Amino acid sequence: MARIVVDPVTRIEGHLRIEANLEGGRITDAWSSGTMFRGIELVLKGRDPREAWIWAQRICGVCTIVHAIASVRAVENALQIEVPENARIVRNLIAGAQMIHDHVVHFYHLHALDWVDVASALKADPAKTAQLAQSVSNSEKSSASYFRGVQQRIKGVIDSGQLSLFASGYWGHPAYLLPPEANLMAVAHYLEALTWQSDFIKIHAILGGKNPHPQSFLVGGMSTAMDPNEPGAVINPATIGQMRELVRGARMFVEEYYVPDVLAIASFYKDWFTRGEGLGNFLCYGDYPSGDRDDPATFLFPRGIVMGRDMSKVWPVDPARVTESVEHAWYEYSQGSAKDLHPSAGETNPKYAGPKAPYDHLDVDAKYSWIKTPRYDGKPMEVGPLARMIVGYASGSKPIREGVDGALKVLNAPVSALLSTLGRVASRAIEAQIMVSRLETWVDRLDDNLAHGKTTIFNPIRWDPGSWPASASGHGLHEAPRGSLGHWVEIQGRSIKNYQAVVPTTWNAGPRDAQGQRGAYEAALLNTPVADPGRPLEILRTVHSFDPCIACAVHVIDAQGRKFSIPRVA
Amino acid sequence: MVHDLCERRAHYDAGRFVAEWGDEGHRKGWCLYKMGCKGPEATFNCPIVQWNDHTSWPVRAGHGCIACASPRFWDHMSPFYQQLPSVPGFGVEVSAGELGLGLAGVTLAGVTVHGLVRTIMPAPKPPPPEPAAEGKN
Repeated sequence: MARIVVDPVTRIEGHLRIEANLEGGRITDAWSSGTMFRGIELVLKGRDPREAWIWAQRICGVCTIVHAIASVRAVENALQIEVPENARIVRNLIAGAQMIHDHVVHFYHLHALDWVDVASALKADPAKTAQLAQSVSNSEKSSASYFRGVQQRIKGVIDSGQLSLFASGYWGHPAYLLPPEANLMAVAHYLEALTWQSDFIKIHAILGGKNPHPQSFLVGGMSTAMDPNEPGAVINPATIGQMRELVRGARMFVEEYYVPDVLAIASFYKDWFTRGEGLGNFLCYGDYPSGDRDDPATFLFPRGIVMGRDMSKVWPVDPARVTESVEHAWYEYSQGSAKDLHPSAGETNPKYAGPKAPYDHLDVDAKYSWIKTPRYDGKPMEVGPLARMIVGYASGSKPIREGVDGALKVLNAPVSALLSTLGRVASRAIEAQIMVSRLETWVDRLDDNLAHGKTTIFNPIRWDPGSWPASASGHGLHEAPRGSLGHWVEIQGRSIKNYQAVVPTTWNAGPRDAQGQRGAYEAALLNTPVADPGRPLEILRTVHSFDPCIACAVHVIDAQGRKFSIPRVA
Repeated sequence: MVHDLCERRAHYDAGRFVAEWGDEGHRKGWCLYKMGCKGPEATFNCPIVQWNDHTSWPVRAGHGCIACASPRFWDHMSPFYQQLPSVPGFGVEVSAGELGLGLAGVTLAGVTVHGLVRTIMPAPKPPPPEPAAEGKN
């Protein structure tokens, strides 16, 4: 038996380590470890809950708005504040744009090179590549001369010896199965995606002043004042026009590049529709309300749980049943670490007990990660795009059924194929397509409200802390690009007494619980074949299919385990 | 200085302030000083350079500046929604005193702009030790 260690796993956000046992060319067991500590929860204690979102969103700069949304929702839930329709729409727009942006960047820049061999693209015939591109998409950029130009750019990079982004790839690995033309098409779109994403994200600048960390949220609404006749208003006919243009560009990119590329690449890797299936338990808080944020009946993505791959039954979600264990995580609870805690009473007391670096292996029988272990009713859950599609499909959601059935038809695969490594990849593309249509309707709705003089964007009822009860507690839920996100806040007097975030990658990348139940990554890696232990491309495929975001999962870090540090300008 | 470069600066000088989120002044793009804007304490060029290829910046999005590029802004600039006590100078049409701004005109004569925040914010904690070698993720 051989132990493979992948540390750090690259092309992700943050620091992740995977240890896996290999027997007979297959993975027989695996352990997922977050190798850094953060402590934003501790930074939040004692602060004004109205500014909690500004701190919480700095948990991470990738899915940079998700913690702001979960945070304002938690405080609004605690103080019983309804937000006006316009604020809800603006939040949906910001979050929906984040989801599309995040999925595209994940697919091309973090994940595609697990499937696409950059070196092979040099062997492609540009004319045949043009034929391939024209057969899967209506994109204008599909001529032989275009692909010849891209090929020359790649050759220039490789000949220079400065591979930059493409350094340290497993080029030439036998698990790469795409013909050179498909590789060239994918690399071309990798480069197109770089340009498109920097343009599209201007929608966050319009609605939030900047990206990363848009700055327009308020407890009770948004700061994006609306007025049809005032150029000084954030939302006015001119900015509506700009947003419409950006959303049009997103539709073009998703429909002409992203979805066709996912389907084309997936069709060469059908084995990966039967690998990496994982837990089979899926949790989705649901989100994108067209009504009350706490009424799942109005959600675009339905709320629910599917257990044990049984899509005939969707179970309800009760946030009171979420707990976190530190049995295998480097923390301690004040009342003893044996008892799992609900996030409203959650604690962040770091206590590193792992080996002194440098080390060969973690002691996986003891604590082995900075990521806690979330459980729902004691059960491990997968969250994310796949969970949203599974729960939505099982719930009978029309857009999700249409999206999933459409993709599966092209791939000639059954629904069960979704429960796999490539199922996660396909789920992102499907929901990006669903979301891009929604962005259009939300922009239209804002435009309509502007035209009818409906410009309320903020509910002032609880802005004055003098109007607050002596104590309050609440939770805010959000479906972030990577999955179900929850923030829990305890307010006492005018400040935060306790704050906990249970985030998507904590659910997916968490270590085992006290019962020895594996986390989602650990379960998904079982039985995965590994052709070359020295170049474990297959491990990367499955782990990357979850889109790991470790900064979120472990919630300010440095390698020495100090809580805070002053960043140095190099 | 964000305050000096700000597109809403003329409103400050004219005494036109947002008093509540979403009010008439907010819709007209008036000054966010009373909503806690830290522009007068922030020494950056965001209003000129802006973000995301010169698309916008937080004040244009209707929210006060939090001086987020300022060293230890988390200690010096929070609470973010608390109005700065007084900002001397440049009052073309009304002075800070006429605006009735909290402590204005009482004890602040001679205090430099950069000293102001520290008169209302908690004293900064001593900096933590510098790490020997730092990796950034």
